[in-house]
Amino acid sequence: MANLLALRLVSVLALSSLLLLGCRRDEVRRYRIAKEATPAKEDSPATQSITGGLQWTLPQGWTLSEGDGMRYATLKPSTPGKPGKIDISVIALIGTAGGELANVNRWREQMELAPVENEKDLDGIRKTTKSAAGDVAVFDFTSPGTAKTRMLVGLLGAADGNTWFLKMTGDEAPVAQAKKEFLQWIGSLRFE
Amino acid sequence: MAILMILVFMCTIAQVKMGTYGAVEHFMRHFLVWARLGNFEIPVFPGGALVGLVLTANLVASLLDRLVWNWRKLGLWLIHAGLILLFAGEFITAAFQDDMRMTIEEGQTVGYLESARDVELAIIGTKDPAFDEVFAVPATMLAEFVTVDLASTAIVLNVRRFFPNAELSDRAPSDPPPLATMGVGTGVNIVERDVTTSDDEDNRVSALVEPMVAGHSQGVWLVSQAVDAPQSFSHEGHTYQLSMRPRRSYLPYTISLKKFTHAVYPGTDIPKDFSSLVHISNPVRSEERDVLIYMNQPLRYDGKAFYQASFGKGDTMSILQVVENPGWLLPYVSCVLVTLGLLFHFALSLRRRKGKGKG
Repeated sequence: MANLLALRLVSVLALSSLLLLGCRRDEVRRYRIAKEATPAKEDSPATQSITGGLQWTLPQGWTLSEGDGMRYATLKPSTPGKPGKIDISVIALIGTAGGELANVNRWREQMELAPVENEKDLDGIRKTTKSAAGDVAVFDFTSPGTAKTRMLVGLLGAADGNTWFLKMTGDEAPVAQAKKEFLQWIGSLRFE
Repeated sequence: MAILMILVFMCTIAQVKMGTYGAVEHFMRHFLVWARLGNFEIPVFPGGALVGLVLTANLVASLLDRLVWNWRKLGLWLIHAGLILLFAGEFITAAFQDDMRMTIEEGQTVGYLESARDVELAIIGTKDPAFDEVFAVPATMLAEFVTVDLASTAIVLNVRRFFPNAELSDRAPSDPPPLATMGVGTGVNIVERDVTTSDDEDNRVSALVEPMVAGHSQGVWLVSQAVDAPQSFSHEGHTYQLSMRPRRSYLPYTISLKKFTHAVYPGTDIPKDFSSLVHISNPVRSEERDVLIYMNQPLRYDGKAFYQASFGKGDTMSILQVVENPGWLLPYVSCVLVTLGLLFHFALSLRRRKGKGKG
């Protein structure tokens, strides 16, 4: 009996020590590594892409500059005869980024509009533009009051798990003029 | 055995909500199964590790204590040895197996693996034109410590907050001031989310950190797996990048993806085969060769097995699951031993009965 107990104890100790040996100690690792080669960027007049995935065809007269930090890219449309502020941003966030309803209400709050109560109501204000990158949900908001501002936002949930925000904001007149090209630009979206 | 059956049943049901990895970790890989009661966690059932430990201990003890050592009992010895090896193999796997992955695009050469689960904050000194100096801080240290000292440097990291899972969203002008004072964190809201173990979701590990260099604060930075590009700060001519990323393990060799092939059955979208033609370049062994990795045919190299796991980016990117398990052969050896033992014992019993019949 004592033998049996002793044998059991020895077995337990031997197997437990296997588990303990495998435990990783948390510590800061320090090492030197050769620099990774940065892939060369390719530019062409009509189709410009930034290393990272999403490509598009720039409408005539639009300009592109690379983003920094969260902003993937900044675009400037051509709005002759319609002076005023206008800005187009492309932002990519990993994951659902809060979901469609939360984002729509955040934009509506920015435009001083009442929030949408539930998901079903989004169907009435959402327009869908098809692109090679996927279906883009497009929302159009205009602020109340005399000095109107306007926001068009495209929301693209990509197959790679990222959520892309394509937002045009500014004064009402230049945004209205650029709306048709904005939708054409969204329609040209594709992943490299 | 009854407890083991209950554990297997509970683990199987739990996979629906917890995912495969989460359920196995919760029920099988720990000594106890814990449940949450209010703010406390209490043990409610023996875990798979404890049951396996007791089973194995009993098996070893009874084998050594009760089984007579002679050639007639060889079959039983082999069967018991095979079973003990099987259980021991599972302990070795639990203790030593490392699941990593290699994500590689066509034409790209990669010399490191990324952990499927573990996350690190990489602080990368980029001053040297040829080399980067990397300090990799495990996310578990950010969760546990308020201050992390990067020894032999002037850098100390103050951890302001740690989020095991978080979601980032664009800031509106009316939102409260950001918690970060530098970098991309100044333009985003961060919301803590529950940790997920589901197979379909990933945790976005995030933290607010304040690097102190020689006692000077470099601001509060948001570092997150949800932030794609590294951020950087500079001090006295030295630039350091901050990047929250899967834990990396660098290899003494590189692998290049020459071609990824995704075949479907004709006229359907049903996948037929995925394969990656890779080139191994190992300067230590002066080795340069091509290898085809495809479903159920992993590349076994340098103690690791590279499996074709997934793909992406329009069939131009291959994701290889890389498993390092020093005990990978044990289940096979165990099966052979048990089979030989059963055959021997059966043959011996048959011979004995035939002998009795003749008598």
